[in-house]
Amino acid sequence: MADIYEIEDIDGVRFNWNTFPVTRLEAENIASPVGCLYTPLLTRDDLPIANYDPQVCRKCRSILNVFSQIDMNNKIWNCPICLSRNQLPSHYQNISADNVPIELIPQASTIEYILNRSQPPPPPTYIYVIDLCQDLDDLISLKETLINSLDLHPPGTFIGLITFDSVVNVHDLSFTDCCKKYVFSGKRELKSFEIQDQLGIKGNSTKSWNQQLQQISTQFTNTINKFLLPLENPTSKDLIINSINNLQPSKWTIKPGHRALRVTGSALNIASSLIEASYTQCSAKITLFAAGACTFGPGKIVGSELKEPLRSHNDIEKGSAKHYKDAVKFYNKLSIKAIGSNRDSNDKFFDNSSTSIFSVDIFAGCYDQVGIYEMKTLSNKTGGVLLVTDSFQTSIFKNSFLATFNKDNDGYPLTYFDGKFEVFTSPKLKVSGVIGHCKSLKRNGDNVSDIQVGDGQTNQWQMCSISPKHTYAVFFDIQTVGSIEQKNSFVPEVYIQFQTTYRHTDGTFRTRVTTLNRLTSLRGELANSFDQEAAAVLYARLVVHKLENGGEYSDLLRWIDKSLVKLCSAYGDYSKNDSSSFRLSHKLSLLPQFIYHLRRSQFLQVFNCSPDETAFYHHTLLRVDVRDSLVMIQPTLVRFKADGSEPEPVLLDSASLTPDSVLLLDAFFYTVIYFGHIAAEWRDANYSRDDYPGVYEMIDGAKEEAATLIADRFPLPRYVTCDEGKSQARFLYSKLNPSENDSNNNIGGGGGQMGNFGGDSNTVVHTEDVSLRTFFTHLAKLVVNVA
Amino acid sequence: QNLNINNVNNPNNLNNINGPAPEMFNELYSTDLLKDIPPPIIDLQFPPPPINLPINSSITQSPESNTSSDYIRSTLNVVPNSNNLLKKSKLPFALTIRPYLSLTDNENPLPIINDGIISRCRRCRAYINPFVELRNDNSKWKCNFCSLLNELPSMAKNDQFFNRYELNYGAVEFLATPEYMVRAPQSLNYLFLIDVSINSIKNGLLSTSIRTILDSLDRIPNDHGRANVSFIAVDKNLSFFEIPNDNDENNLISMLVVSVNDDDPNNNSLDDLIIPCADNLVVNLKNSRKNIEKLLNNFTSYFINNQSIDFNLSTALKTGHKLLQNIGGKMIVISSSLPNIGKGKLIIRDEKAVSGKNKENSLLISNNSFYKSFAIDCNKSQITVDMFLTSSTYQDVATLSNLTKFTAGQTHFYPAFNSNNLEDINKFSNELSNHLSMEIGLEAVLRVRCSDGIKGNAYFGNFFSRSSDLLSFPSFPRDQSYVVELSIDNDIRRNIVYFQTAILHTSCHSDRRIRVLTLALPVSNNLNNIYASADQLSILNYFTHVGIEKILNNSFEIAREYLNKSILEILNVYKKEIVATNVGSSSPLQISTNLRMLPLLIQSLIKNISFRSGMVPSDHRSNSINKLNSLPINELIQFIYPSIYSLHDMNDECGLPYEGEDNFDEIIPKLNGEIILPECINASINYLQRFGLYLINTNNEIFIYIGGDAIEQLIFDVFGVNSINEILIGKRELPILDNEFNQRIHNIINKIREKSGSIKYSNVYIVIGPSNNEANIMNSNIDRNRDLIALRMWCMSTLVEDRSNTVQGYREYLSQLKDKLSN
Ligand SMILES: [Zn+2]
Ligand SMILES: [Zn+2]
Repeated sequence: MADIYEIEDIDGVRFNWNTFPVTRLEAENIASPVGCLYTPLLTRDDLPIANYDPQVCRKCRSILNVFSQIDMNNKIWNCPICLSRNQLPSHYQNISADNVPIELIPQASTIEYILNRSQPPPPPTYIYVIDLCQDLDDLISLKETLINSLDLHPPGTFIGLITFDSVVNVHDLSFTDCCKKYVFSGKRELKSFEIQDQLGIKGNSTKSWNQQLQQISTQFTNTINKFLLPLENPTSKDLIINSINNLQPSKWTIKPGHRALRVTGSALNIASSLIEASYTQCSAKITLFAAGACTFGPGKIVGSELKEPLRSHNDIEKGSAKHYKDAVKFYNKLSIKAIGSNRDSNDKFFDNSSTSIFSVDIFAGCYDQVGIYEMKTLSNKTGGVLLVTDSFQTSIFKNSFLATFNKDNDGYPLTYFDGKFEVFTSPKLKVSGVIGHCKSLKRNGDNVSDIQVGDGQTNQWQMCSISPKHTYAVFFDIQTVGSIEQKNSFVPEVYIQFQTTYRHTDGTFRTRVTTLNRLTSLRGELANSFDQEAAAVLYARLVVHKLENGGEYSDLLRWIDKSLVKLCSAYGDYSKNDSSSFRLSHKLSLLPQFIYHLRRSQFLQVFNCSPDETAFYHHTLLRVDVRDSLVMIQPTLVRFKADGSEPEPVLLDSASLTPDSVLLLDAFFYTVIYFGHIAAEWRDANYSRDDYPGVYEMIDGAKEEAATLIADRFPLPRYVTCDEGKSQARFLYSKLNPSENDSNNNIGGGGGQMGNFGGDSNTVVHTEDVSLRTFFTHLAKLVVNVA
Repeated sequence: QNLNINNVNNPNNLNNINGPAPEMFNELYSTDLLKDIPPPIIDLQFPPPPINLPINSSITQSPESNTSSDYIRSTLNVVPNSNNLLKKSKLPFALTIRPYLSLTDNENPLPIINDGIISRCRRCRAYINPFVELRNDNSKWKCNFCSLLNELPSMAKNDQFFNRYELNYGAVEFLATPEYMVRAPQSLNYLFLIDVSINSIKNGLLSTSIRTILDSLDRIPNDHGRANVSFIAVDKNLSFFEIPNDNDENNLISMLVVSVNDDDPNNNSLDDLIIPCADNLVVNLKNSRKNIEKLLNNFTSYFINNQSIDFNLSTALKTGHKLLQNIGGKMIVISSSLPNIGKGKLIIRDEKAVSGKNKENSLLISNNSFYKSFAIDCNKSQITVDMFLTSSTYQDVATLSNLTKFTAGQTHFYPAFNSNNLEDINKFSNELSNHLSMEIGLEAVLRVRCSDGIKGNAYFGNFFSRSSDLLSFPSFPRDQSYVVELSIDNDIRRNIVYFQTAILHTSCHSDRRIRVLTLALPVSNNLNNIYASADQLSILNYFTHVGIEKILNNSFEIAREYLNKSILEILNVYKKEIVATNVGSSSPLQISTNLRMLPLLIQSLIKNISFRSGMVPSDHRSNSINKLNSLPINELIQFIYPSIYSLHDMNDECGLPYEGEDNFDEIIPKLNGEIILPECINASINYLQRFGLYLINTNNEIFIYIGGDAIEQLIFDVFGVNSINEILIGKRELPILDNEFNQRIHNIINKIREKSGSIKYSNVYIVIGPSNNEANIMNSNIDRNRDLIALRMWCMSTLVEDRSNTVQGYREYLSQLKDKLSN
């Protein structure tokens, strides 16, 4: 079997266990569900592409693939998923061992089909929803960025513009004589038809886009050419640019002691209804640019009076955040509207005649919270982007927003629309769920497991927006057997097929197919198939998912600790009751460290962050691949020295802080260049470059490395430069293993900060100031005692 | 035949202060009505019987001590000294107050006291006036209302004291000092609510009104540059306009479309209204002038494709109210539609079902309580509503008029307006433009003070009574008048009584002013004196108001009975109490000469569209009632009894400017340069020759009536065509022709149209009268015939002395009255 990194490069997939357990005991030992992180639309230069529709198994709808056995004589292919036989169609008659269609070449375990459809998909729609309650400078910067973005959209894009302060304005972009806006109060939760009615576009959900674009009717109002303009048309583009240019900060006076009145929730609802009544099969993106919290109307997260503080994690936990539940309920409903399926057909909040879907990107440009925590499902369930920045003037905002339009080699933006993800599994294997930026389509199938992990009880998920960066955790349920004797009845290997259908920005429908096979423990060895990096990331996703869905922090810690102890007990080397004998193989040795850092990361230590920050961190973790996730969990630290030596990775440990070197910390959300106090002195001494090349190489090396890290990261990290002992250095210190505490700790005493780690007490330890060594020692102790 | 109207003060009897001198009273003359046919209609233009006061009754003996009858007319220019006498007289006691005579201050200005000295009685708050008495070496003044001695302001005690306006003129204006201001003088704020639904686009109202507003921007009173305007386009939605200051960097006009789901019965709160942006909705006319013009130039095109058939007036009004509630102002509604959605939703009422029945008056009563209660809210917020209604179908003028009635506004009605007709545009544009040019007062209150024993009982007109004697006017129009019904509670022991009307207001010149009108009237215990000084026009005005109340509160039948009974009682009193010598059934039907037009006027009023029985579209009735409710006396009389001029035989001087010196001695003063009008003739077909040419001015429209047998030369001179069949009939201007006769007629029409105290612009209707050879006129053009017959019937209905379908002619009426008196 190929190296896990190679597989990742080809299929975009990383399993925690590359061999699947067969017996119940094995399943118990691995202590967490088998799963993988899968990046369906992974960018690959050598991706096999078929310009035709795939051959589909008539029984299970899986697609002909490299694992299908072909009976060349009878022109039959066997489906590895359902084991049924399928006739090859007439145009496959000529295939032979030397002449196989592209999907059958060995490299085509992942392949993309460009589907033949009589009609290309409708072009996408983008609606910018802009908060006007902001400073002029911020707005000017935002307007500039928005206008720049207009050159980046996919071909055919329609653009709509909605602004809000204490009211919501839907801009009639077609109106040239003056600036025409439809204004809504935002006080009430409006029904979709109420909004459509006011805009005069009721019923357009069943009209096609090209019909509306071409036929200008005086009798009816088209949504297109009025509220949504084709960006490709230069006149329209000028109108859009004009409309953006003309935006002014809100002029409503803010009462003393009050926050600005913002009707963010209503603005989003109105945008969503505009999309519902846009055109048939519309796939859209709403991008919200929020400069503060929603303080009025549906989705309000805080009252307008300043004496009412913004809710904290504590308030939410205690149930004293008085707007929280209503707000979450409202935004969740909106996210159901976005996905377009499984709506309550009696609820007039939705337009049930609509075939539109949309994703929501939220950019917060504000020092304070804007309510991302309440709104997060809007992005998390639709494949949208969440980004928290201090202001729309920051380069973090500008670059990250524009990066959502990053393009492929052919110039097509990499943010795609209308993704549908389906999992096929061979017998004995079922799918238990997905954790990632998608939403269940609630489609029950034979291979849907009763055990639900993440978003489950389906084998199909929807991604209103999907990109090559979107990575999903997929969990499986292998139907284990109880005893060794029964083992022989089990399958020796399993097959999994991922099908991802989406609208490419070049105007094609495509299906990406990845077909995998994995051995079971009947034929392979579990311990050696372990991918501890993938496992750590899957742990992180599981924990975050549970936290996001109301899981108790303390329960989660207990669960993860127990799981780690179990795993180490099953696969570690040790003598019973002798903790010093505890060893882990190289396949497992890093896992405790990952878990240690995960426990003290911002993902779990939410009480150190605002709810909005938490939502942002969680959101990002739930999107990125293994490599990025690991950086988030356990930042990397690289040391640069002036002695001409190569930069070297060092332990994320206070011991690594040497005064004569420069350190580069990559914590994903921020990068820190840290000068030890001697290195800082050298830097400030302005030595001649010729005399002291080493000093300059050290400094430049760190900076260059940092620039490389930042280059294609999304979102753009915060970039901090600091000196030893200065306040900014806290960004680094907070991530370090406090190994200097070790000597002070009474390790074996059971007291101190370690308290009852992993024990049977209900209290949970805050590992913030606990060193890795302490953690490991306790782990060892528990492992050797448990067994 | 002429009444002695020149019975001026007799200087020989000045010092008789112990009792009324006989010379204080006009002499009583009787007229036998049945012998006085045709009635001498020139009387309708006479001033009221003179008020004769002793020459020393005022401090300065200034001839203008008493307020002129142009401003205040009492029904009785001699006041009965007791309630018993008043009751016995059967004459009503009321004042008709018309505080302004013209639309702007340029005409008929009043003397202004601008030195800040405003001396008022400490007890009754009356303003110092020419009828106070000075006491204690001229250091105190004795109030002529309550007799309290008040200090004279020291500043006023100088040599010029006796020249002070307030001691010389009954009608003056004080420039108010800060204590009269609750807040800085309000600016003039016009909020236009313009119907942009499909009705308004189709009939051209939208384009006409926008053009008119644009052309009238310079006419809006704005000498201090403080006037503001705002526009809301109304259909199903409301479209607001954010108009930046001309100097703003962001110079973009925004149109903000808002719709409010106002049908929700649970949704009662005004909070739901959306003010769509923070600023620049009500904008300074001067500072944003260029942008306002830009907006108005484009306005019509914004809605050119509008398909909305809905008109959400109530939401527009409520939102307008919200915009103006802190600054006050005028909401001017321009509409072609029945409000069919929202809280103010109105329905088409079944007129046929009740027409002619007892319940017919229900059509004139509000059909939706929103309008009255909203109007009262407006009044509290210093907002006036004016309406310009132009629907070709039912518009429920009755209900909508509540908006204007209680806010001191006015409802203007242009049935079936269509901009395809130039005449419609002319009338509408002129009147809207004149309306905008009116120098209205703002935040006004009116109070009438009376001498002890006399009290204001009831008030009529367009305003809201804030308390029993304080009338509130968010804005004070200059083209309306008001009636105060008076009662005598205690016997009056003095021989002169006083009335003082004060209107505290903000002028549109951004200052606070008090217009004070003081009237003194002699008192008598003799019925003859009372009758000899009764003012028939003022009496008719009073009866009109009460009659309207009876229509609305009771029924048409009761209202008409009331009018008939009133005249009958007066005739009865006259017969029994005054000319008691001849009481038999053969006795003549007599009345004092100064009241001899009263039976004719009463009968004409009953024939007026407001009162008459038979099928009348209720919108027209309501409109007519609105007019009767607010028209100044002279116009009211003309509206009841039209002015008819015989043109074909008019004197040579008529229709040409008067070349002599100004002459105020004539009954109708002649002023140099003014066009001379012919004498009026009676409104009866008997006086219209079949070959003649007549002009009938109904105060609403001008008929040019050409007899069917007119000679060709006359037809050619007037209409420029050769035969009567070629005359274009209907609503159209008379052609301008190059002959003197045609020119003179135009001069007369123009003279009639230029009425300084009114915004009105009358359309001309050309009508052909019957002919001896009718068949010749009725040519083959069926449409023309139908139009002509309808037009002729309408025109004939203005001939109020003739019998109509339901009411007898004047002579028969008198006979009937006589019969009733005898029984
Ligand atoms: Zn199959
Ligand atoms: Zn007094």
